[in-house]
Amino acid sequence: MLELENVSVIFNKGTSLEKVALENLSVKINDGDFITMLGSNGAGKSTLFNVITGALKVNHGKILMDGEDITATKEHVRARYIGRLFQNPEHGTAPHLTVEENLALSYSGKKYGKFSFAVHKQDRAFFQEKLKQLDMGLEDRLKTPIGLLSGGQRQAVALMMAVLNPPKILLLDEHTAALDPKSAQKILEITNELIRKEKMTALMITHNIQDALDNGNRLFILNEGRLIQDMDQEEKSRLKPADILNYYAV
Amino acid sequence: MSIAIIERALELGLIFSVLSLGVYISFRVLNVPDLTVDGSFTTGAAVCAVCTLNGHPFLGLLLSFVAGGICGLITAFLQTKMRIHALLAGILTMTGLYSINLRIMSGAPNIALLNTESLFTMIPFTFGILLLISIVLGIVLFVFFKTNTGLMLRASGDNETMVKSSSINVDTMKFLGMALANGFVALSGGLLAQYQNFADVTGGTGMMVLGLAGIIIGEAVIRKRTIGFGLASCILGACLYRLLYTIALQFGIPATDMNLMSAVLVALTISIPYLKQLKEKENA
Repeated sequence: MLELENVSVIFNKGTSLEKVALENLSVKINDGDFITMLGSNGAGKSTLFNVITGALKVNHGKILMDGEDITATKEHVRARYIGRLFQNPEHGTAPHLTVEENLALSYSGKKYGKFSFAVHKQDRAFFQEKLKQLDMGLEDRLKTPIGLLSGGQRQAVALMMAVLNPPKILLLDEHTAALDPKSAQKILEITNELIRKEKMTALMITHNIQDALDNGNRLFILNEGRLIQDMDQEEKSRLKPADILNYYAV
Repeated sequence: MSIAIIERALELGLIFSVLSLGVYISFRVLNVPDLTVDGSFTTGAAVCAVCTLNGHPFLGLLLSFVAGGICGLITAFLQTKMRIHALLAGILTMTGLYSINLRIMSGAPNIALLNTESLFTMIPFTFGILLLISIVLGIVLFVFFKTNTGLMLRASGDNETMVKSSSINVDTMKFLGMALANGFVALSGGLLAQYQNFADVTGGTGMMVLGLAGIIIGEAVIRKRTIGFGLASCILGACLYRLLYTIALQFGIPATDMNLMSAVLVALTISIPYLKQLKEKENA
């Protein structure tokens, strides 16, 4: 369970450019939650992610993971239990490394140790089996440098990398926004399936209201650094896209 | 051109292939133009020369690698912990090393290794031993880059955003990469000192570009860009460069003009893809 207690983030504090990005935000994210998150630009959605991953330091407040205070924990240490997927497919994979090397990067270090070979023969079969689930023909392209794949394919591999080493919480930062409609649909389906199968906890930022309503069991709406709505499955299912627009800043 | 001249060119090429392997680690793998090279090359030569003079040629080579590694660590420290721009960090280390190198050489601008035992006096097959060294180092690096740590190092240079959001510590990888890169560079300097029987405090000037020239020529011949072919490109390219250099000397181009030639060659080769693009746009 991830808890944020009175978290505030203020950019350029004490100057004329001061901006409160998150204001006294408190929230509990339960294990197994799949939360979709809406809000206008600058509402604080990405800031919230950056605070959870440790890319950004908080000005006030505490962050607790399973009851343990991780407010001061470094980003790369938190990354052991927090996975993140970016909007830009190029951010999630290393282009000059092959598909299997990228997968090994998130899988092999823990399993075999630092100075063992990264890609083992028996892993190839395992990777192929996993990639087959994506139904993109990637199982035959293990040795292709990932930079040669399409954006949708790269995002699918990035998603797979996050799942191979299941994080306690997976943060999806508009991870389908840069893809064409068909690929976006496909990636969203895969996301849902993986989250269900691995029983993962996930938070998804999106600007697509329908996606926010169709997916997940909980909905956050942020506005000007505050969490103005936290709806459960039932409240969410009664909502129509038009209702949501009222919550956006005018 | 006699066989002896070609053989000497190839021997020097093999010595500089170790330099190119080092530059490959910083420039291609870590994606950082590292100017420490011009200083650490001399450090390697100086350390090795002092040890050799005192009767320890093998220890000298080992220590030159270690000394180079320390130079790399200093640059990595400036880059990561002090947040100094990568280029400037390299220049600062290089500048500081000039004084250090003079101290290692007890203030003398050069050391001559006359009548001292060296790797090349102890083992008579100079070409063979250099070929062996170069290939073994290439294979060791290849194997290393296939391990988990090697993979993390490559990923750090390939996509820093991704690595930062993963559980890999990018700073640690930069320390490791820079140490390894400059270790190779300094070892190359050490080998050259023993081969030429002298070390000079200005010997490192232009070595970063020279190492790069080797990589670029190799990559022009070997078109594949995987890590294995990349390392092979370094070795082949450094040898080819030295052959071309020797041919140019035979045609009467003065040796002092060669730095200019290397710089022009590297500048042209790196800008060719962009110039091609520009031309295609004009045509379209």
